[in-house]
Amino acid sequence: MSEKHSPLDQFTIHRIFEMKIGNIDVSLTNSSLMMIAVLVILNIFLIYSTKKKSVIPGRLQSLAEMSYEMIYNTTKDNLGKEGVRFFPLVYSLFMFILLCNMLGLIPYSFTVTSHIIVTFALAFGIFLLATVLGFILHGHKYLRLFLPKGVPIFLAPLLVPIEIVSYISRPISLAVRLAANMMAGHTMIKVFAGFVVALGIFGIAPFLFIVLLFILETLIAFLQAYVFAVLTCLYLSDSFHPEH
Amino acid sequence: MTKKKKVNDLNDSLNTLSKKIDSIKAEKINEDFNKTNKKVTGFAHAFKIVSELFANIIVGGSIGWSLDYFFNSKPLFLILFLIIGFISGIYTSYKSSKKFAKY
Repeated sequence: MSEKHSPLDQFTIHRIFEMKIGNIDVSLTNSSLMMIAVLVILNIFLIYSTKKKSVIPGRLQSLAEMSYEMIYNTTKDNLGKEGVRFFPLVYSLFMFILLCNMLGLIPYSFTVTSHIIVTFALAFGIFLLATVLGFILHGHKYLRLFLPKGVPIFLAPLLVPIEIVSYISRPISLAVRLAANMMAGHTMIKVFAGFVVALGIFGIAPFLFIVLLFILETLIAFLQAYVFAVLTCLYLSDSFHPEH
Repeated sequence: MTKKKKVNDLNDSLNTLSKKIDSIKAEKINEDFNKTNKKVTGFAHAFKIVSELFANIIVGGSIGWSLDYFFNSKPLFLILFLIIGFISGIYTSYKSSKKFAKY
C-alpha cells in the first residue's frame, strides 16, 4: 500500500495558503482552517438557535439551552456562586472542543484536537489562569495547596515535591487525555477500514465493527469535551479554596 | 412595628419556601444524574485516572532530567524524581477516586 493510505496520514498538517510575518510561519493550514470553521459554525448555531426565544423551544433552541444548562450546572456545582463568573470560559471551551471532536468524525475532515500541541495550549491556558487567580485571591497562602493543614512537619520534604509534581502534571494530563483519545480512536477506525477493503466479501465483519466503533467514538467525543470542562472547573475551584 | 413584623414573617416564609423548592430541584437533578450519568461518569473517571498516572510520571521524569542537565549529576535526580512521579501518580489517582466514591 502506498503512503497515502497509512492510518496516520489523516493527522498530517499541510499548508493551504502560505503566509509569513518576518521569519515566523503563519500559513493557513488545514488545522487552522478547521478551527475557523468550528468557530463560524458555533457562532451561527448559537445566534440562529436563540434568535426566536420562544417559550416552548424548538429543536435547535432546546439543543442550545440544554448545553448551556448542563455546563452552567456543572460550573455552579463545582465552583459555587462566586465562580459562576467563569462560566463563559468553561462554556466556550466545552463547545469548542465538542465541535472539534464531532466535526473530526466526518470522513475527509481533520481532527484538530488529535494534535497534542493544540490541547496542551488550551490546558496550559487554564493552568496559568488557575495559578494566577489563586495567587490573586489568597496571596502567598495559596502555597498551602502544597502542604495541607494538619500534616506533620517531618512529612513535608516528601509531601511537597509530590504535590508539586501532581500540580504541574495537571495540564499535561488534560492535554494527553484528550489528544490520545482522539488519535487512538481515529487511527483504529482507519485501520479497520483498511481491513474492509483488504478482505473483500468478508469485509462485512470489520465493517459492522466500524459502525459500532463509530458510536463509541461519538460518545467519547462528547465525553472528552465534558471531562475537559469538568476538570477546568475542578482546577479553578482549587484556586478558590486551596485548603482542600 | 406590627407591620414590619408581618413583612419579616412573610419574607421568612418566602425564604423557606424557595429553599424547599431549591432542595427538591437539586434532589431531582441528582436523581437524574445518578440514573443516566453513572455509567458515563465512570467511563470518564477511568480515563482521568489513566492520564493522571501517565502525566505524573512524565512530569517527574522531565523535572529529574532537567535538574540533572543543570547540575551535571546524570542519573541521580532522574531516578529520584521518577520515583516521586510514581508516588504522586498513585497518590493523585487515589485522591480523585476518593472524590468519585462520594457520588
